[in-house]
Order: sequence, then C-alpha cells, then structure tokens
Amino acid sequence: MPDSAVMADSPATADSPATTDRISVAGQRQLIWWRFRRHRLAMAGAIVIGLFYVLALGADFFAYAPPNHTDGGRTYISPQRIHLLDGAALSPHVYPLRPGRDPETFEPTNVEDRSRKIPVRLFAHGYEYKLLGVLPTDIHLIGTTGTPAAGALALLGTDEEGRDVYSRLVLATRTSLAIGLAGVTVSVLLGALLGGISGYYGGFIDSIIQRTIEIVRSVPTIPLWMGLAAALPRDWSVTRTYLAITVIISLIGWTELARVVRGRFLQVRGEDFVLAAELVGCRPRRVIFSHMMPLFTSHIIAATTLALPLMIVAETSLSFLGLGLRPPAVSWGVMLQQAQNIQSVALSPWMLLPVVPVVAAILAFNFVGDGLRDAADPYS
Amino acid sequence: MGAEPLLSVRDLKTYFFADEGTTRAVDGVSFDVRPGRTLGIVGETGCGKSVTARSILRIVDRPGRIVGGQILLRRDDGVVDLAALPAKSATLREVRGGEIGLVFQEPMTSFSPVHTVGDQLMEAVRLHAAKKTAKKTDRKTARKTDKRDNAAVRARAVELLDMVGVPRPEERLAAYPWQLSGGLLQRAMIAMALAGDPRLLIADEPTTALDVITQAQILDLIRDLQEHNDLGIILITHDLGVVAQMADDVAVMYLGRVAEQGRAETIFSAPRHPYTQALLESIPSVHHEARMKLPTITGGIPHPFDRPAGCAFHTRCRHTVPGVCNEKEPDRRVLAGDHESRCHLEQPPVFTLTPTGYGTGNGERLADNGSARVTVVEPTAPALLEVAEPAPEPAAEPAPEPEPLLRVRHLVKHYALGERRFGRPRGTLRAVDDVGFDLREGETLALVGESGSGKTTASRCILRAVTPESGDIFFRARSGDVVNLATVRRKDLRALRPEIQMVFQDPYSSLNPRMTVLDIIGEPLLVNGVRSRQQRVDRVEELLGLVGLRPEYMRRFPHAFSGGQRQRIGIARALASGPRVVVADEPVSALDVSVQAQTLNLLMDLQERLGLTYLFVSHDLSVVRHIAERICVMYAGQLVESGPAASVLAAPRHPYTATLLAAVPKPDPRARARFDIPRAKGPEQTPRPPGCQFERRCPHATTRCAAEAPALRLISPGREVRCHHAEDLVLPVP
Repeated sequence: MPDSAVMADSPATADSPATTDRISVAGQRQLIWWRFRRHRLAMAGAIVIGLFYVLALGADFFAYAPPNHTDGGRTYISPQRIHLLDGAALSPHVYPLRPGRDPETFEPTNVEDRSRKIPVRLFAHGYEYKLLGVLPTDIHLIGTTGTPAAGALALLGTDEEGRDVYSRLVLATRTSLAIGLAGVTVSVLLGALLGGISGYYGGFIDSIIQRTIEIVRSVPTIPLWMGLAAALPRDWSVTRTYLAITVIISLIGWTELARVVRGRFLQVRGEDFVLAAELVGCRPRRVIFSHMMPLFTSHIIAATTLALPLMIVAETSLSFLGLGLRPPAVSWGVMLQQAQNIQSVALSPWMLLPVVPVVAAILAFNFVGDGLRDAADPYS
Repeated sequence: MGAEPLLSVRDLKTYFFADEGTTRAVDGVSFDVRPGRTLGIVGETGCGKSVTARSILRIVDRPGRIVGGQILLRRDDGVVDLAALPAKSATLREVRGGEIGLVFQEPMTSFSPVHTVGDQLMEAVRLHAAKKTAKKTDRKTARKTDKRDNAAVRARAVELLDMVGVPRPEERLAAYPWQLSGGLLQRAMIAMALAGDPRLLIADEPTTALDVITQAQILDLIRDLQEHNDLGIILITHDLGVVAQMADDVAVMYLGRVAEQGRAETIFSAPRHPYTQALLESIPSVHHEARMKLPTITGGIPHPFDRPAGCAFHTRCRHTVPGVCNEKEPDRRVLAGDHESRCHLEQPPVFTLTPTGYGTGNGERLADNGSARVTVVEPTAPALLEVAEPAPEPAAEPAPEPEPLLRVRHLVKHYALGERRFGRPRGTLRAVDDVGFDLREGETLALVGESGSGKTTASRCILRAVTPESGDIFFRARSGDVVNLATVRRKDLRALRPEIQMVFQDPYSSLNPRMTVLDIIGEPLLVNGVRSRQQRVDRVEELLGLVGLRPEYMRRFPHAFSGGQRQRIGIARALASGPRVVVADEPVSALDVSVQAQTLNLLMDLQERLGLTYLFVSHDLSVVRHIAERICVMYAGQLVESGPAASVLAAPRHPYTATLLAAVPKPDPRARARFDIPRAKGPEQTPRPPGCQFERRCPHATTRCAAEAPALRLISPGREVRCHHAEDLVLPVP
C-alpha cells in the first residue's frame, strides 16, 4: 500500500486552503528550498559561503596592501592592535610599528612608536586596482590617511618578507575559490556526460566507462597529481599554470559525479513515468531531457557542492607541496607553504592563519551539500 | 470469552510531532486480545493501524511518541504496562520477540540480504534461549552452554522452519533471502517471530505483498499455528476478505480512532457505524452482479493535519446530521455485549446482507452527496472530447462477428536468466510462451494469473514496451489498416502509439513529480502535434472533468494528490491521445477498498462513454469478475483457460482457475474455509517439465499429465481449456 502521507491529501479541505494550495502548486525547486531552509547547519553554511564569495569578488577592495608588497623593515610583525579611542573621542588609530624581540625569550614583539598616531578610517584611498576587473578605483574598505596603508597597517601580522598577511589572505581566497569553481565546472561537464552515456546506453559502453573510473580512482591521488604537476613546464606563466592545475584536479574529480549521474539514470529509467512517456510517443531526446534530467539536477548540484571542498583541498595540498601554484600567485596553499617551517609555527603562528578559511570553507560547503542532498528528494 | 485478555490496550495515544504540526496518528484506541483469538484491525491507508502495532512493541519511529494510555501485557509474573516502561528497558527487550512476535508486510526487506536465512533464524533462537536461561542462571554460563548447544539451536531452527511448512528445512537454512520466493520468505519470517515462543503475534499486513494463492496458504498457516500454540493474534490489514476469514474480533479504525468494534460475525452481518457499512459495500465481491456500479465512499481520507471537527468521518458520511456530527465528537457507545461504535445516530441505518452482496437496500446511491469537501466532482459530458479525430464511429454494418481489434497469435517472449556478460546465460525464462487471444472492440478482456504467470509481459508486448521474440499482434488501426505490432518499425509505431495507451499500477511512480498535472496530461497532446498551449489547456480541462477532478487542479504537482486522485490523473493521461485500446495493468491493486471501487466505477463509466476497449491485467479475481466480460487465465507463460467471465468464474474447467478462485478470501465470516492446496511437489525447475506445467501443483494430476503436455482445446463455444481432464474433473464451485 502506498503509505506515504502525502502533503495535503485532500486538497479541497476548507481548514487551511491557503497553505495546502501553496504546497500543491509548489514546484520542485520551491519544495527543495522550503526543506533546505529548515536545515540550520546548511543555512549557516550557505551564509558563510556567500560571505566567502563576496570577499573573493571584492578581494582588492577588502585588502589594503598589494599582496606582493614587501618591506624589509617590517618582517614578522605580529597582528597589530587598533586603538579605537583617542582620549574620550572615537578616533581609531594605530602607531607605526617596528619589529622587535623580547630580550629574554626572543619572541617577536611589536615595538610601537607612540610619538606618532596614524588615523585609520573606512573607505580610504590606497593602492590602485580595478573593482570586479573593470572599475578603476583606489578605494579600500580600510586604510590610513597620511602614510600608505601598506607601510602602516598589519592587522593579521606580516610574513618573513614583510608582506601583509591579511591582504594576502583576502586575495588568496579569490584564487582558491575560483580554482575550486573552475575545477568543479570541468568535473561536472565530464561527469554528467560520461555518467549519462554510461547510464543511458548501458551494456558494453557502460562497462568501459565504469572500468575507466575504477582505474582512475585506484591511482593514489597525491603521487598522480605530483607526477602531472611536475610535468608542467616551469617557465609557464602564472595563469597558464593556474589553468593547468585546474584541469589536473578535475581529471580526478569527475569520477564521483559520473557515478552519481549514472546511478540516478539507472534508477529513473525504471520508473513508470519514463515508460509512460515512451508509450505516449516521446522521442528518446525528449525522454532524457524533459523527463529524466530534471529529476536529478538537484542531485548533481548537491554532488557538485560536495565536490567543491575536495577541489579546494586538492589545490591547497598541491600548492603546499610546492607543485601547484607558485609565487607570485597567492592562494591558501601557497601561503601555507611559506609556513612550512618550525620557526613560523613556533614564533609567528599567525602565518598559519590560512588554515582557518580552508577549514571554514570546507565545512560550509559540506554542510550545504548535505542540506541540498537531503532537500533534493522531498519524497524520501 | 472466558480467558483473561493477554493484552489490553487502553486509550492509547501516539502522536507525531513535526514542524508542520502534530499528527494524532493513534488517538485513544482501546482493545483486548485474548489467547487463542484473533483481533483484526481494519481501515484504509493512514488510519493508524500500523502505528498502533508499532506502539505496542514500542518501536514507533521518531518524531512519534506515545503520549498517553496503557498497554497492559499479561506475563507470568503479573501484568506489565509496556507504555510506561523506559525505552531501553530490559523487560521491553524480553517482551519483543519473547512474548510478542512481529511479522511485517515485506518479507524481502525484513531480512538482511547478506546473511543466510539460517543465520538470522538461529540468531533469534539463540537470543531468546539465552534470555530464558538467563532468568535462572547468570548470563555467562548461559552463553557458555549456548556455544556448546549450537547443534541444539540448529535443530530448533529446523524445527521452526518445518513448523511453518518450509519444505526441506535443512537445505533452506543455508539459503540467502533473495534465493527464496516471497511465500517461503514470509514463512521464514513467521518462523523467526515464533522463535521466542511468543504468546502474542502481531501480523502487519502479512499477506499484502503476496499472491492470492500464497496468501491463502499463509493464512492457513497462521490459523494452524494459533490452534497449536493458543496464540493471541493481532492481524492488521486493509483487506476485508482476509479479516472475515481470520478474525474473531474486529476493530475498524478511522483516523486514529476505533470507529466500531465487536465480534467478526456482528461486524460483518450487522455493522452499525456508517464507515464500516460503506467499507463493506464497496468490496467488489464475487457475489456482485458483473459490471454493476459499486457503491463507494465519497472522497478520500483527510490528511491527519486536517482532521475534521466533530466526528472525523462526517465529511464522507451519508448520514451526517448537520449541527451534530460536524460539531460534537461522538462518544463510545456500547450496543450489545462487546459490540461498540462511535456514532451519534441513535438508530443507525439497517444493514442487510443481500443475495447480491452487501447493501443498505438503496444500492443506487452512487453519486456524491453534495458535500463541499468532496474532491471528486461529477464527470462532465464527453461531448467536447474529440480533439483530432472523431470518436470511433459505431460499427457501420453490425456484422455478426466483427473483426477483432487486436489479434494476438503465438506470442513468445523469453528472458535470459543470470549474468550475460561472461559466457552464456544459465537458462531462459519463458515469460510468455505461445499465447494467443482476440480483443474485440468495446469489450473488457482480463488477463489473470499469479505473479510470474506472464500476464504483465504479454500486455507489455502489446504496447511494444517489450519486443516479443516471435508471434504476431495484429492491430486494426483507426485508418483501417491491419498492422502487426510485433514487427512494426519504431518509426511507424510512433504513429500508432496514440491508439493504444496504458494505465499503470503504481500511482506514485507513474507520474513525473517534476511536472504539473497540466504538463503530464498535456504531454501526449504535445508530442502528438497539439502545439498551441491554449488548446492543450482546454483539452486537459475536459479530460480532468471526464475523470472527475476539478480543472483548477491543473497547476498542481502530483505530490498534492492522494493515491486515488493520482490514478485518475494517470487515466486522464491515457485518454488524452484519444486511444481505442487501454491496457490497464493492475490499476486498482495499489488502492484502498473505497478508492478501488471509485476507480472501477470510473473505468466502466469511461468505457461506456468513449467506447473504449480494455485489456485488464489483474491477479484479483473479484475485481476481474466485476469489470471483465471475458477472461484469459495464464499460468507459467501459457494460457490455461479462457472464456466469458461469468462462465469461467462460475464453473472453472481448469484446476488452476479453480485454485485461484478458492484462494480469494471471501468477505463473509460465515463462509470460512480452509484453503488446503497441496504445495508444489518439487523445486522450481528451469528446464520445463515435459507435461502439463501445472502438474506439480495440481491435486488432480495423473501420470498422463506428467508425460504429455495438454493443448488448449475448445470445450464449449467460447471456452478454451488447457487440461487433459477438463470435461470430467469435478472442481469446487465458488
């Protein structure tokens, strides 16, 4: 017996016509959204991801120092404090800093030059950049008046070459998230295509594709990436390496998606309404694209969301190993690579800060992916 | 009565707490179960039957919770209230399986596929043996003796399987669940429920997933077990026939309450609650006149969120008293002895058992009673129906024997068994083996048989969803040409598709959840050349009216509809292209009794209005009897008997037909019968026996039957039988 208590079993009841009607005419997308909204962790994850992408889009606006601005006089500065009050009045300011060491422990400390105040303000002028790649401007979210911000601010400290960690982190977010997106796009295209072929035609073609997937998946990933990345010519430009890395990463990523798509195809093929469509006289193309595909787009989206963090981790690990992006490109992996020695861990722990966005982004993507997967099937 | 009740449920309340609101799935249910007696709990889907059973064992899934009432179980050391025990108490674990055994609906999903039946059965035996010994000695010693007692456990498992009638039990212990048939698995499931020597057995739809013959055998088994072990049984089912055959006491549930309860004889012969009466009336009984409209209960069960105020049934009740029923909830009223009912009516309408079936005398009360809540509206006139082609014109010259619409000859469809990828298949399954029949214009022909008999495959061949190996399917197309559907090319087939359409069994999987009703019903129009959206909207509106749904529902998605309404949508889709033949594959077997009656009435009504021809595939003989004019009975891929429905069902000439008929549980407790069909003598063998396919299960088989395959013979005008002894067998008449 069909035992599922269908929402609004008697659509014509007078008790709550508004709600029942709303549910009755709600499309699949709407139902998914309603269910997704109830998933609190996923909603939190979605907000975090949203913020990340806002940060990535306006990276130059949120940063205040050019990412590769070095300053020999400002190495290993620990995160700086902003003084909010000047006497009793609200007037945020910083003092110029010099790196120094604690004479007893040799720990790096900031030596503040209390004689000079540098006012800090929002929407200040700084280095020039193009907002969203088109609008030339020099307005930044925070900045200083008087001296250039690059030489005065160090909100999250600086690294061994005196580069500002905060600004680099913001720009690294852009690179890392973008590489994730690009990698996933390639994976989805490959995965949906090969998985679809595999699931729809079945038989021999299916066997070939499935065996290929098994072979690809059986190769240990890190050595494979290393091999492929090592094969990239060292003299390639940053952007070309970037593209090549994306492709390398997605060459592994598509297998999971291909399996998801194939599985859904096989499952949906057995549904009565597919047969019904065929009996009515629909051509295969219509059956596939109008009847079968829409049923699992949400699953593909969920799988994609779950694949994104893998891509990000992959890029981070590759770059961390020194095989991925190379300076002057900035990514989370590149930044972490610089924190590879014991000195930074022990003496300048702020160099490890890129770990925070990596963990945050991955958790957020996973929560959203879970939420989407649960919401994708309102009948499960 | 005499005996103390084994289990007394008092005012049980189980609610489900969800974000959208609280569902009162079980809302104040009380009943007793006595040893050696069977309590049948009946009701439509969503009435809270299963939740009641699960509550007794305290296995209600979250977010459900027992919020009130008592579940008093009599044990050796006094009475214990299961509802008051903590969820993880040791007593509960002892009770589950130890004192109360549970049998589920789906034997296939109730066993783990990775362990053998024996392992799972022996585990149950060991667990309960350990528990029983643990009472006397401490657990450690119990476990030690257990290890030594492996042989004893095995012996007990074999004994249990033997008790439930599994042939060759030693061999079956090593079998995996998927290697056994549904019937055998259900027996093993019952064996497992009995492993702990329970005194109460709860069977939740134990035979719903099974064939009618297997069902009869399992019911016999449960009856035997009850006699031998003095079991108290709670039998939960939606099938009134099963209840009539099995139950001593009956509780009829509606929306979480017991509407009426009492002795089975009383409930079936003098029901007092209008719901019980309506349910009984809507059974397509074998006693009903063929093709008479079935009385139905209007509308469907309301969703528990929308529980009507007052008496929950008043929205569908034909005796509703305005101002009373819709305002005040009726109290429990004791009528006589243990017969009680929840209804305001002082003098409920008299209900009699008429010769033609159940009825309140006014059997003509078919249409809805004008209630605003009723979702099924009067079908509109079909005058606007012609879309592309005019309705098939009545046969111009009434020839004495008009050319049949469809002539099926020597149809064969084989399936390879086992893996094909490497090497050869293990064997072939002859799903359809030389089948032939005619389908005349305007008639209803039923293909009948148990699952695996090939009836569905045969119907799919006609739809060319499956391409037959050989044979011919001659179809007289609207153009007048005779086309062989078995060999027609795909391209030409597409032009014929609109003329042959299908209604599916499962109302859930047959509608695309992503499409609105408009898109679903409009699809056949769209692909067959009705490009204008407005035209499609108009036509869908007509079709919805035709199947009794409101045109406003057009923009809704399938999830907004109940099973019966979805089936109506499926029917509308099948009619959209203006077909002449409709293949209906078990179109009502997934529906509740009342909805089943509505759907059957609709199908018959549509046939009359539109001059449709039905090929009706079903295993349910009472339904077939009701709708079909001619019947073809299939067994093992072959036609074994065919002829006019009335004569085949009244006087079957093939032992298989007789067996099928005898297996249908009659909804009359006074006509109880044991089934007693001999089980198959040997294992299912892939190489076909040389003789009659039914020989191994036939009570009348002779040596000739084993050696020589009978041919389909004409024994009287219109009657064909595949049996050597068709003329001289004395078969029980239903």
